[in-house]
Amino acid sequence: MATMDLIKHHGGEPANFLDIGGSSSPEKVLTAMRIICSDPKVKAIFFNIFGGITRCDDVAQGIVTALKDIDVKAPIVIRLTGTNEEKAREILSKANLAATTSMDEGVKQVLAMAQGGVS
Amino acid sequence: MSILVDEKSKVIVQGITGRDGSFHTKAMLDYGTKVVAGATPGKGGTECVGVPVFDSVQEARDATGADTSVVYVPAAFAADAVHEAFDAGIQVVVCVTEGIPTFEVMRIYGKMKALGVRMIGPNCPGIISPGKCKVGIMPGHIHSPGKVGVVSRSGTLTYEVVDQLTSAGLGQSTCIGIGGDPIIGTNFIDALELFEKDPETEVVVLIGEIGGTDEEEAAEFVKSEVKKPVVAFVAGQTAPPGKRMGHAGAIVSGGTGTAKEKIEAFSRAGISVAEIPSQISGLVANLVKTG
Repeated sequence: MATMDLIKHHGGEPANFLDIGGSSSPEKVLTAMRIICSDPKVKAIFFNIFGGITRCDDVAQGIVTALKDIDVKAPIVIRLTGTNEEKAREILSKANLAATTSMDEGVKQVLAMAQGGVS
Repeated sequence: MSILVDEKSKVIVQGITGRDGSFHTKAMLDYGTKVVAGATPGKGGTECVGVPVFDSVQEARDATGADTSVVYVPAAFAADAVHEAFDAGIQVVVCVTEGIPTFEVMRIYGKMKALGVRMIGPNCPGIISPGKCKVGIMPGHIHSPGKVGVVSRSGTLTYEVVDQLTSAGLGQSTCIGIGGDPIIGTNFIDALELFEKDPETEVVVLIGEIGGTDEEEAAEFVKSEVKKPVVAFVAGQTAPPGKRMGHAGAIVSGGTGTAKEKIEAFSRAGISVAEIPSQISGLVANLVKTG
C-alpha cells in the first residue's frame, strides 16, 4: 500500500494494487503476473518485496518462471530485500535480471520506464 | 532495557514442525533467541531444528519454564493454539498467523484481558529487541540495538523503516508489529505506554495505515500521556474507499479511517508526520539526544 502511495508521490499512477500476502510460493507470483499482464493499460511492472515471511528466492523463482511462461510485454523493475535475499539475487542473475535494494530507487526506475512508454 | 521480550525470554514455538514454523525457528535461534521448546500435537518426543518438541504447550512449559510463545499454526487451528498458550500460563503470545476469524479473536481478546496476559497480533511479524531476542518472522539482520522504539500495523513497512533507521545509525530498543487485523491483542496505545516507561527508548516511531480509529486514539494518548517525542507515518494516502488493502483491517469504510484524518490527528497532537517512508529516519535523527 505504501508502494502505491510512493508511486503517486513521485507523480505516477498505479494501475493496480496487488499484495502477494504472507508465506510465499513461486506459484503465487506466477498467478500475480498473469493477472497484471491481462491489463493492457499496464506500462511497467514494479515488484517491491521486503521479505519477512515472504522469501525473496520464492519471488525471484516466480518471476523467472513467469517470464518463461507468459508473454510479458511491459518492462519490469525488481526490488528485493530481506529473507533469502542472496539466493534470490543468484536466481535473478542466472536469468540476466537485476534487482535494486531501495524502494525509492525502484519507484523512480519504474516511473521512468512507464513514462518512456507513453511518449 | 527494552519492552516485552529481552535476552531472558524463553520461547516456545507453536507449530514448530510446519514449513514456516521450522524455517523461522532456525532464524530465531541463529539470532540468539532462547527457543527452548516446540509444541505440535502428535509430535511430542521428537526434535525439530535441534529443539525438543512436546505434544502440548503445558508440557513444554513444565519442562522448560518458558514465558513467551510464538504461533505459526495454520489459521483454522491458531485460535485454539493461543487459548492453549494462555491456559498453560504463557505471559506473552505472539500470533503470526493471518486469517483467524474475527469472532475467534474477540474471544481470545476477552480471555487475554481477564487473565492479564498479552497477545501480539494476530497477522503480525512479531517483536524484536535487537541484539537480545527476536520472536517472529522479521529479517533479524536489518535491526541494530539502540534508542528508537518502533510500533507498526504493517510488517513490510516496518522492515523498510527499520532498515533505514539502521543505515542512518539509529538503533532500536524494541520493534513491535501489532498486526493488520481489525481486532488485535496489543494496540498502539499499549505499545506507547510501554515505550514511555522504558528508560532505553528515547523516540517512538509509529507506523499506521488506513482503517479503524487506532491512530486517532493513539494521537489523543500521545497528547495527554506521552512525553517522549513520536514520529508517525500513515500508509494508504492514495487508497480508494471501500477496498480492503492487503490487511483485513486496512479499509476506508463509510468515509472514515482515511489516511488524511489520521495524519491530521497526529499533527494536532504535535507528532511529526513523515510524508513518505524515507523521511522517517531524518525526523527521528532530529529528535534523538546526541551523546
